[in-house]
Amino acid sequence: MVWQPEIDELNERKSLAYRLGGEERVQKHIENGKLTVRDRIVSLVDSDSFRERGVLAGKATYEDGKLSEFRPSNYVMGIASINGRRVMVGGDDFTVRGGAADGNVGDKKTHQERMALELRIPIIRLVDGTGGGGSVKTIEDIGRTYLPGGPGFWETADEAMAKVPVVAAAMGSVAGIGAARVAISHFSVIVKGTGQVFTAGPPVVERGLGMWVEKEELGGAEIHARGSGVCDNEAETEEDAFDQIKQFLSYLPANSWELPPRSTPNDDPERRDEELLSIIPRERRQPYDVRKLAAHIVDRDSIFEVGKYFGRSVVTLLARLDGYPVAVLGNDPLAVGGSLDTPGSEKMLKFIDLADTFNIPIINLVDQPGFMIGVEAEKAGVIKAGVRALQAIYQCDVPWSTIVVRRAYGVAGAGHQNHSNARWNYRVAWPSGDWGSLPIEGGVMAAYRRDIEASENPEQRRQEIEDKLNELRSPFRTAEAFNIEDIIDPRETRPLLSEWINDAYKVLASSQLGPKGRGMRA
Amino acid sequence: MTDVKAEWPGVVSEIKVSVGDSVSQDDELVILESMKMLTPILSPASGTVSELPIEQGQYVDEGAVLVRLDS
Repeated sequence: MVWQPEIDELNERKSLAYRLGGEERVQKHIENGKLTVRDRIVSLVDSDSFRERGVLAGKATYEDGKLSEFRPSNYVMGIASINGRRVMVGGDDFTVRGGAADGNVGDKKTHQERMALELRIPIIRLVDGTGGGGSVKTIEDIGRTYLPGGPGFWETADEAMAKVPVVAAAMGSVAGIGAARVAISHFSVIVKGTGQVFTAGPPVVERGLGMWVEKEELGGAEIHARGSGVCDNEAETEEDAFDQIKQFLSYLPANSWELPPRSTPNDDPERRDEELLSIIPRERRQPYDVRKLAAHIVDRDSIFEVGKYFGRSVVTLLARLDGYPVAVLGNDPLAVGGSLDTPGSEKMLKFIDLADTFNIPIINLVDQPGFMIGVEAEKAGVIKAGVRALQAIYQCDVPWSTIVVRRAYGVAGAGHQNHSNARWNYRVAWPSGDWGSLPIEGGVMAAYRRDIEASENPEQRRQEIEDKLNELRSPFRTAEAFNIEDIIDPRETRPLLSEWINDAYKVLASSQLGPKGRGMRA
Repeated sequence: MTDVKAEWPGVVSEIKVSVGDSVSQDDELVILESMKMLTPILSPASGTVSELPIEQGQYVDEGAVLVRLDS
């Protein structure tokens, strides 16, 4: 019992930290529909698994050498488990100085990231800070201004993107570096109604641009999960955000040196769903539900969709096949005709980089009519965004498989597989396969103009040529020339891919894994 | 009032409702042909069609109002 007085003081100091910003501020925070940072962490991680770091950090006031007042640091962090797997988790405490940087003590945020990097475990950031970076109050406190940047967040944030899964949730109005902490992640989720993300909030916008805008209109879920793609997903509630974080992490390894974790398979790898035989309409202009198509192929109830409402012509799904995590890419004919536009290209690039960084094999379900065309698409820089997505395909080296379910046209269509260094990809097509440099309907006039114009009945001549070319369109003729490995019965897709994924994971298990030289940009 | 807008450019292939029709959420309002794909434009809400500022065969820009709903 020699040190009992100190242990009593330790416990007393902890209890002061647990009070957060004080009863009144905590009450107001809860009334605004938000959990406190401590309740958020408890709600997210396995029960009793949170071991806090830095609970004693705070701003203390002493009277006669005795602690009289204590304001805890407004960043709460530590190590915990999610579904038995280790994570670093931390969150802003909005009840202390609105989560702003001047309420931080030391640099717990960077400490958290360094610890995660050293232990090679995922980082979870529960962001809820107004002006997460600096506050002008800091100027008064330190008696000078300072250059932005410097030792801290950026070095670790960039390194983390290449090495460990980084997940962020926007759980309040987050601006400046707070917004950056959300954006520089592998997966981000914004809570509808209470989460907003912006480079600067309404008062700064008013001062700089002379316009007033409400925070929800400036950076709410509608803006960032459905418009800009700054956040991958939106959540109905904070609990929903935690569920999504847990689901996302379940497909990922703890770091880029490890293989993604296999779950106990819950589904027959040989399952052959009849629906696949009729899912693609015979009429080429009729769309279908690509998510349903994917669900018939992967393990039952194993899909987690990333970025559903952004770049909608591209569908990005994390799923499992015979228990193994896979990254499934698809084209959605119900959005922009399934064409590859600028947002779709950005989404595709990030998803491929994610899969490549964490050794998740990729399945590409191709129905690609080509890059989006027209004035708006050109203004949005479709070809530049598109070639960047194609570069991501060619730079990645995880096992890749392609199922051409329908169209593969043009330069965008060429990006259906990673053919770098003439490597082999598993590539087959369904009988509905339809491909070329450009579609026959559009290409006939360009290629046969003279012939058609010289004819007495140009329209009839055009039709004749089109009919003749259409006879050659059968994918079986392509297979005759061995331009594709096989045309398969769509019902065989799951058995064939199950076989492939088992082989793919064996290859990965005997490969030198680790961070990619390219790092990973958010 | 809800404006149902074209999210991408295309040609109005078919108009499936008339002014005065009651529609439910997710009913098909218009078929828009873009990139040689016939895409159904679904009603975002329940309501009554109050205006149809488009014609069959007409090209529409991204952002053009296809259907106006009183909802």
